[in-house]
Amino acid sequence: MAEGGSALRGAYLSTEGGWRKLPEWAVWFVRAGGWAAELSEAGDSAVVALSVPAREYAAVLLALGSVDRTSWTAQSRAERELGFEQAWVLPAGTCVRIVPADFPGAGKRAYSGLFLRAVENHHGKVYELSGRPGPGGRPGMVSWFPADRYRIQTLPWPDQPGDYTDRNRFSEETGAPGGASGLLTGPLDEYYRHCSLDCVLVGVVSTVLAEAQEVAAAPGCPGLSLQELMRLRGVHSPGNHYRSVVLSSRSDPEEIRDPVRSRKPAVAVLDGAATVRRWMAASLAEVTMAVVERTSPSAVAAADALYANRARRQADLPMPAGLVRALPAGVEALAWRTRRRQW
Amino acid sequence: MLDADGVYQRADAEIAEQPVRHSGVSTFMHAASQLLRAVGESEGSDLWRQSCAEIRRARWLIGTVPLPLNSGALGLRETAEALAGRARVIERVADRGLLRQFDAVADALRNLGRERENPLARGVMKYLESPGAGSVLVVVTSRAHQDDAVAAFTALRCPVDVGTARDLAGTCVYGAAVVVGPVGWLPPGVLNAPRASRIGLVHYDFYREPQDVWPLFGEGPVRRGRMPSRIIRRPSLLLGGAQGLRAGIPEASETPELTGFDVLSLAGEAVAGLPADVLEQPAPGAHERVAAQAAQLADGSFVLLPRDAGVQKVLLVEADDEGRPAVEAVDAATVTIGDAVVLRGGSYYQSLVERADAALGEDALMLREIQRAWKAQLRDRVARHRDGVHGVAADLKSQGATTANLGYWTGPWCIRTRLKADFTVVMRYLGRGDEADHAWDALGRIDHAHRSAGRNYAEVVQRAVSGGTWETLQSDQWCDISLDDTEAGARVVLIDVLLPGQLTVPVHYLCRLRSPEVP
Repeated sequence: MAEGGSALRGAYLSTEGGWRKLPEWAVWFVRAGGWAAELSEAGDSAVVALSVPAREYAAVLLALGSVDRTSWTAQSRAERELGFEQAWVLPAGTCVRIVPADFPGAGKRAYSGLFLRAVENHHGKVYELSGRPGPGGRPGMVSWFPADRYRIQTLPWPDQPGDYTDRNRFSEETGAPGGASGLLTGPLDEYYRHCSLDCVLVGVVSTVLAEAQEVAAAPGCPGLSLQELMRLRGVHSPGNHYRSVVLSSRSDPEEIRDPVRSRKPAVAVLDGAATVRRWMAASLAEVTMAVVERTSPSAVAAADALYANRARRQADLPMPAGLVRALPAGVEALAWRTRRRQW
Repeated sequence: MLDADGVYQRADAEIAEQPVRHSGVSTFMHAASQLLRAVGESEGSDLWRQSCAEIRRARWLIGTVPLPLNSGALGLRETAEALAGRARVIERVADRGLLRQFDAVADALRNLGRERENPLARGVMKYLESPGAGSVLVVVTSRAHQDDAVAAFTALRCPVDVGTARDLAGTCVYGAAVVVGPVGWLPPGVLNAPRASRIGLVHYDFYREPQDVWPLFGEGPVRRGRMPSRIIRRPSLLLGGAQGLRAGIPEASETPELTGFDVLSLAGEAVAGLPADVLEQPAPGAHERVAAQAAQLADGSFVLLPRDAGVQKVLLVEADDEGRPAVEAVDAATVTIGDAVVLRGGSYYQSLVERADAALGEDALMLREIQRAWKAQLRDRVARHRDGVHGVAADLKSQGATTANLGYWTGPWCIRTRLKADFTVVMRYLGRGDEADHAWDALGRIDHAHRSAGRNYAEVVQRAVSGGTWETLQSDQWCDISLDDTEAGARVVLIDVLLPGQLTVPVHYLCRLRSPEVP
């Protein structure tokens, strides 16, 4: 893709006073997120530290930019789709997602739930998902899907069996929402088919999800919320297609580090000075972007944590000239290459 | 997103400093500084403690509140009378030189209390003379005097909004913001992340001049967008006629200016309500002390928050995904400006212990003794071991413990170790291996009682916090709630400012609502 091909380019924002052009600084954050994803793809381990005058929206836009850029090479990151023989040996109780084979088709739906078994019966080869247990603990209604018309994907963390037990399987529409083509730059069918963890955002969950409700639109296209574009989810929100996950900054970094790292996200975005201070050492992904708002009382402590990390750097990392030229007023940026961790 | 855009539009604000000089205020401030330096360590003694506290408070109020000097809210005349009265009381006992200085201070204060001038407000108006559009916010240090300040500015025919530094930390933007008071206490981000197109700093000229604006990332090849870097210094505004100077007071220009230490101690005066023994040297065997920070709350009171994680939890009220208020217990070191916390006048931890004891009934005494005993023994072993904490930790690890978190285990709020295996190792190490199981179960009862009491409290608060509370919080920044298990309720209040300076206080002073004592 040409330099400058980033999500939300030329987009408009829905406001109370009508449609307004997306501010320049917002576009910059999306591009910066894209750059971080490029670094990750190139195999670099890096930290990008940004100091901003206001925390709002920076992290969400960075995450959107990185998820969009990662989708250019989505194939290698997506969960493998299993064939019938592999599904045969899949243990019951695994979280899975069942996607129509001729994706995307109008009116097609994808289903997620707990895998029961792959079996050959009078319908032919089918996959079965368990349903909610009936009254008196009797086994619930089972959903079945013909194996020749559906593909099966396993769902590792953040989906956990505990979130699916005692519930019927979830279903949702498949396919890219209208208007996404003007706002995202990667192959859309691929993007909206597979679930993968491309970006981890750590911050205050309710604030992040609220910020993701901003509606953007390309000229002449219907509007979409940022969440629809970046497919952000919380940890205990099963049943939907996702590409990025938001973690609460108040959770314990020690506990959550291993499951996150096992998914190998491309970029981790730490939203806010307090989050940076607490999570800088956690190293959730190869490339970490730290957003520190200067009005926070933890700003200096967060800057100390960042400089302590920088002291162990391999080398400073120059930013691309295009990003430097467009640097918004009030934003400071510093990037460095770190040693690769043994995954 | 447009609100955030307003902030980015003002990212490159012009910052100017408008010093003010009032001869009477200068006389008082220098006399007071001289006295406090001369008194020195005796400030803690019974002879001087009360007087010095009142002088510090007067100094703080004069330097930060833009009210007429003879205003009742400042109470300078009353303070001067009280000081004069105390001078007569200690006449026989105190040192002559100090007494002379003390009299000078009381005199200067009495003269000030007769002045009708409002020097800081005049400084604000002088700053605002320069042209500029948009709304004006005057920032004062505490909401306690907010209404009086609004009235004072209206009387001077200069209608402005009055707020605190927290109003400059959100996404509200202004045409101009004027900060009143010494610059040393300014919270971070006011200058390098401005919320107004122009920012004025109005203060008395004997405060240390502000440094230029520092960016957050100082070292390395940092790329920076446009940001304020210089502060324009304007000439001082001179006010007040020549006051009669008592013999013995040097000219104001010869006395050294207030140092940074004085400015920080002024911030410490804001928590003048703390009893004196808190700030003394801790006696051996006394309550454990932790590093703490004072925070000013939106209703004018204060709270002490721990600096380090893992010390104490506090209840936070936040909006959940659907906009309803939800109560959560979070680590007190992670709360920050703008968070709404639930506080009571008494110590939360102490009330937790009381409620847990009530739940344990008659066994409470016996169980608490078990809790106290194993920790006291462990502390003893640490004290006697040649290598102290590290030695004991190494011993425990070599005997099979997976962790040896001795700092926490010997602290006052630990009940038992996290893993039973570790606890067995510790008990064997203390020579009481056969009691390990019994003690573990006993401590488990205490732990369970604590958790239920803590959960209950959070549930009780959650029930009390409803949609109406949330609206009141948004408009007034604080509100009282009544809890169904006690007579005294609790208060949900937003944190306004975190004051600079580090304090070391006993644990039970943390997370309690404190009001400054009114003299």
